[in-house]
Amino acid sequence: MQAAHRALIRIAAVWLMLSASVSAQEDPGKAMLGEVNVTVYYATDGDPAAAGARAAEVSSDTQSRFRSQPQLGFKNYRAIGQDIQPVLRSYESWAQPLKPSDEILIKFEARSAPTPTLMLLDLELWLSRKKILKTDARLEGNRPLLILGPEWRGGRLIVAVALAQKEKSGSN
Amino acid sequence: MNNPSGEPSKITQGPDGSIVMDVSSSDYEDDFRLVALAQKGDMRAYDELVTRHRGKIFAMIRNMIHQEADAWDISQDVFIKAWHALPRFEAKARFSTWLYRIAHNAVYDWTRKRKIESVGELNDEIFERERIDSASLTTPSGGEMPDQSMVQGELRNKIQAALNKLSPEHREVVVLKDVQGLSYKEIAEAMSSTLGTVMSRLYYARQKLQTLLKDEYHSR
Amino acid sequence: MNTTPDEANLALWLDDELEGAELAALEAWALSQPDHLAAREETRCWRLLIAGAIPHSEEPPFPDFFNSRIAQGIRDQMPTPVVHEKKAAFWKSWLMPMAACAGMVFAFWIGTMSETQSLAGRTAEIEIPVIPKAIPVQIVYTPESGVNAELFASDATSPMVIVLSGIAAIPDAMDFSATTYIPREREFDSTAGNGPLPTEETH
Repeated sequence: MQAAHRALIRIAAVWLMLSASVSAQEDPGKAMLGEVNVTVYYATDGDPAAAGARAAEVSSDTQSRFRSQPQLGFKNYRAIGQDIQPVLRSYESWAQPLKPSDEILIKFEARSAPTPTLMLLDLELWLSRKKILKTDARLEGNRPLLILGPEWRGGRLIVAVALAQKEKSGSN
Repeated sequence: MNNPSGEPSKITQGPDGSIVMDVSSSDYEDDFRLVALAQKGDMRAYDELVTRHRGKIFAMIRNMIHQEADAWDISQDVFIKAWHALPRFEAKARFSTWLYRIAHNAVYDWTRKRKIESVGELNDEIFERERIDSASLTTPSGGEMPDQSMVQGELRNKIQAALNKLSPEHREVVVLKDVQGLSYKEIAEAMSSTLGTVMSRLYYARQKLQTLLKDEYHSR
Repeated sequence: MNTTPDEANLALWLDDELEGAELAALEAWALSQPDHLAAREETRCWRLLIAGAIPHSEEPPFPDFFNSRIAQGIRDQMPTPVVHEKKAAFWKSWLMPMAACAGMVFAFWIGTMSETQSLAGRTAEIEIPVIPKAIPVQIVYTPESGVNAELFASDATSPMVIVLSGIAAIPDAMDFSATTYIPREREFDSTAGNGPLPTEETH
């Protein structure tokens, strides 16, 4: 009986895989594997108003998260831009969190098939139109990549790269 | 990050004036021995092959695309693809020629794939490589350099700027022939082309480069 | 040789690729062809110029990492058991989605049936092949000279932090007030509110 159940589950799994393969046949390279959220923060020990009037306050959770990392400990944080872009199977994607400015860009491409909680990416950080950093990023459900970036107006910019959750907060 | 100095060319001048590529037969024999081991799954043998050939492949790709970081990535892709294609390698051609063929395909694929097709509206203009600051190309590390090195560095920049003005196909034949030292036959194999096409492309490319570099060319 | 050699042999001769009897014959012919001799000399000068200026081989940056990334890439692409798919045009129609739904329902039904069995000593109902995985190594690479990147990862649950140094500051005059989207409620989703709150450090 158990063997029969195993066989039936395998058959059902094959049906599911076949249907998934058909849906991506038009251009399998454009199949979306997930989404990446790139947010830029201004971090400073001085006056956070330097980030500008439109900069948003940051939740206490996020502030705590930053301060738990010795390298990212500052007195004040402000969010100054965000972009959410898809991870495609065979194409690279660019995130432009400070759009229309291209001062900070993140380029990423899937390295391998993701699991529900882990995405492996080839990721590049571009600053002032120069490729500054290249890394193989492991983005997990609750584990983002935080990059302490350039100085600006008495503080530093932190670029946070994370898997976007299902309910998109919107971009562009 | 430091830009390592490249190895001087193995192109040498014989007593009769001929210019030849200086490669000993033992290099090829070692390659075949290591390939045979790697084909049986010996990763250490393959690692040795990578170490022996990574400089040539990296230099070739870098000379083609002038993006060092991408050349680094593409070079790795070449060796990964070569590993998977090892069962199909036959000892009729040199291993390095076979690698150049894979590198040729990898550069071609990279050039095609550079077209960004992501969902959403991005200003494509921003990402045209020609508009990216040329300082994004890694330049030799700063500091005091001997005069000779500076002159050579400037000449190299001029030649590479001139190479950039050629089409990819013409640039590639010059890189493979005059830099990497491949024979016409090897170039035809690497580029999946005919001998005649390689010859005419090289003729045209050299004429164009000599015009672009006439100041350098005639002063030597 | 009194007749003009064919163009292919001439091209090979100009680039010192001709050998043996063909070389000897062409050399004899070229003795009376000063223009071609000059062309060969010019080609030789050109090749020496290029070869002297552009290295034919350059060690890639981080050569040890270079090799280990290749090894990792090979391991990542190790073949896994493949379910052979047969192309059948009629699956592209409405029949496929319906079959998929039926499969999901059927699998769910079978699964609920299976759960009624004894839990003691159950093994996985679908055998998943164990593929040895490479130990993940985070590679951080900075193409720009003078720029350094340090990677920090205190434990498996903390965010990965990369600290860049040696990068130019963004001019203070640069303004980002026109930024299209600034998150107000939900920031980088994956950390806000997920998991246990870290200990806050004050400065």
